[in-house]
Amino acid sequence: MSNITSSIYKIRFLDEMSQRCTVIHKLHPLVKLIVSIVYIITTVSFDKYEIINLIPLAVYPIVIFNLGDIPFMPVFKRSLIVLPIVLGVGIFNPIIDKEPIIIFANVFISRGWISYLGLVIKCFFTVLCALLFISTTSIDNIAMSLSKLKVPKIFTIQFLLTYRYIYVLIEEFANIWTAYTLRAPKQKGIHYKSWGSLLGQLLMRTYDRAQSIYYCMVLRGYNGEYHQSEEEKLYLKDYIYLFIWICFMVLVRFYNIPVLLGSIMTGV
Amino acid sequence: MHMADALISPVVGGTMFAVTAGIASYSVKKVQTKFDGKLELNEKKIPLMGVMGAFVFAAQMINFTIPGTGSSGHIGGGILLAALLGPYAGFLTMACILTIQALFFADGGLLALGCNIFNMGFYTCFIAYNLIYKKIVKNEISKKKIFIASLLSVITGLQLGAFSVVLETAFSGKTELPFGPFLLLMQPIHLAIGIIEGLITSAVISFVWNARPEILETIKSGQVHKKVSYKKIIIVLLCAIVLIGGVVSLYASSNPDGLEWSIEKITGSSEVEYTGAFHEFIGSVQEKIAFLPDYGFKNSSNEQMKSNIPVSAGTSVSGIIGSLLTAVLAILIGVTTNVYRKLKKGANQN
Amino acid sequence: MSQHKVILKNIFYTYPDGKKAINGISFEINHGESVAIVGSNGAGKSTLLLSMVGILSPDSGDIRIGDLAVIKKNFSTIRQKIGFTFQNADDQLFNATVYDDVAFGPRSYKLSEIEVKKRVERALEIVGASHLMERPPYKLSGGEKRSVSIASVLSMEPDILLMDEPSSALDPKSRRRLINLLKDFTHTKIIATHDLDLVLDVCERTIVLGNGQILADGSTQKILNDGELLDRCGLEKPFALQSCPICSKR
Repeated sequence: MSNITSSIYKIRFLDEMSQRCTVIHKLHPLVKLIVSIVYIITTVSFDKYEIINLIPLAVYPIVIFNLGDIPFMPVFKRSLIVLPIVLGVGIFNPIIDKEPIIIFANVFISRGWISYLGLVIKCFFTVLCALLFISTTSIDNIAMSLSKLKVPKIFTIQFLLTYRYIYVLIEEFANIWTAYTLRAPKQKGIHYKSWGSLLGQLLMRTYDRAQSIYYCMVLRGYNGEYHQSEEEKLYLKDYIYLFIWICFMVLVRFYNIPVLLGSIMTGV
Repeated sequence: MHMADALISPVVGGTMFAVTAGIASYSVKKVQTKFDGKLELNEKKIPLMGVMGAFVFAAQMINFTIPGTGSSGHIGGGILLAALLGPYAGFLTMACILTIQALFFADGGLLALGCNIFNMGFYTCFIAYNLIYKKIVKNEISKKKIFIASLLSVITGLQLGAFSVVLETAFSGKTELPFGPFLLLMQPIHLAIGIIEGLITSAVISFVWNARPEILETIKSGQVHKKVSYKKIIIVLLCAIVLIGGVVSLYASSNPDGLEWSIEKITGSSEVEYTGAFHEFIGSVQEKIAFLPDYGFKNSSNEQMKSNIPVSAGTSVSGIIGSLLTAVLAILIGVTTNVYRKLKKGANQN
Repeated sequence: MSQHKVILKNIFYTYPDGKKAINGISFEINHGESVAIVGSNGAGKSTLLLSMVGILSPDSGDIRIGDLAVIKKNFSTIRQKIGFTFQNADDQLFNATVYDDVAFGPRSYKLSEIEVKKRVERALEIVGASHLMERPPYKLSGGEKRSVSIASVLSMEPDILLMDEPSSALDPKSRRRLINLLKDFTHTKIIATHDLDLVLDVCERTIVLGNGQILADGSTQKILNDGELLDRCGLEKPFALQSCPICSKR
């Protein structure tokens, strides 16, 4: 129950965030999508031991958090959700990869810990990036950027429809769940005798709903072709945004900026 | 079973993305031309697909008590969608659900999306549904047949998906997680999950079949499309690639030390030393895509990598200083942009 | 104008499961008339409405909208003339924003984006929902959803409005607003509802259905005052016509 209702709040929270009106929000969704993907690829493309190179990548989320006026803690908390999986899968790194490396003077650490830390940082960055993308871009804009990328219409329409009816259906499911648990206390879930009937009823209701949505469409002239609003054009600011971030990413990827800075400072 | 971005390499993520995009665009074509001449069914399917996607999305959150245990399970939905909408529309709907989950719940990531759609959509809708579910239910539907078909197909879909997760993780080389034990961990867990999901799925499908049989996708008996053979070839090919890839990596990871099976030994060659033409090919492809670095597919790259690791005290001092400096810079950027944010807020309030 | 007459002649309809839904219904509705179709649950109201726009096709009988018979060939023209709002506004609003939803009809009829914009703005203004334009439908209240769903059919500039339970699940204030809105419309209106107070306010004529047949057809005042008839049809006198339980005065 809490699972169902909390999920709707989670979606709604990000959705509301994406309706804001900041510099980042006003950018064309397509460039935001491209920058996000390039960022993720850059992040994961570093070798597992190259954690120093990852540090400059923190700049991107920091900038987007601020320019996009996104509250840090709620989004940060959300990004913790995936961490257990990565922690679990990655735990073998320090256990198995015990080759020591020197980090400072006489301090040794096993390589596994380095790669483990790297994994966690990468996990944070990639998840933050996706969450920042969704909290600065509304769903219809995402669909627009998808169709700009020549994703077939049937997919983008479906994407929007699914998103739209998640709200309706989750509410409906939550009601049924409440009705069930009120009459069946001390149960963790649906009793197996009701498995088929509960979900089956919901399914049939959903089917009828789909049918009546279809009628609504047909009565307003739908004949298999779904007309959407016209795509927005890319402006100069979009190209500049794209250019700056790509340059940044390329720099970070091919030059070890921290080491470079460090060697300048220490004169090595 | 969602893969995270951090666990995969760009090569694996990109390849799987391309493969998934291919299957998706093939499915889009099939959904559109499937009822050629009878366009009506097709246009009805668009709202149906959208709403069913939302249905599975919401249904995944309902917990079902597992009899005799204290725990509960839920459905994944791949087979259910295929049974309702057919494999092509089912796959597309699954792809939609996973995309929304990746965006809003950070379940899996954008880069891993291809992997996730493949692992949870392709195996269920195309392989398990087409080769198992459809075969069993084809001639006549009965409660027993639905039960067997759903159970078997859900389990198979999940097993293949889990195997695929292990493979993708191994190929990515992000973790030291040894292939064999990981596999031995994943498959049984997903067998258990599969049995539960299979039971729930069969309960739902047979309920619907009882009440409103017209909702289920009609599987015409005896009518074999000519294109099926072509499709089968693709499926068999893909299976073969997956299998061969698996066997090769298994072999490659254990071979250098003979066939002894021990964690220590595998990890002695943690940069899985791939041999054979297959990996040379991948290596050469990687070299061509210079942007994407190697992941220890080849030995030479290991040495390159090591040069990046601060081994000597000198570089490591500069490394640490540099890191601190970069962090300070990042914070500075944060502070300045934060000032901007506050100014903007102040301006809005006035 | 005979153009907007709605004529039903001897309609029969049977559900796929064999249950008879409509059992020989005929009536004629003139241009500009406001007609309520009332009746208990399962009386065949929704079925009747759906067959008027060709979603369901009757087993026998003849339905004409204006000069056109409701047959597949004419669907596109007829559906442009008729605005149909469903009982569940959520089903009607399937787009990402209110704007897109109201624009769906005009866009489907391939109007230019400029004309679409004009129509959307006009339609939203009529229902008093201009401020909701950029909002996603799931963030609207029940009353707002209803207004927008009406706007989504008004944008096609229909001559006839068919409404299935327009006041269901509305709070009293939204319901009052809806009633006032409907009163202002000059369209031909056919409203299927249980809400007899709404009928009293909006419709001058009432058709009572029961078991797929017409039990009564006449002026609203007359029918809604006939307690015996209403009782027989599973209905109840609207509050406005009931005498006060304390002083027995109207």
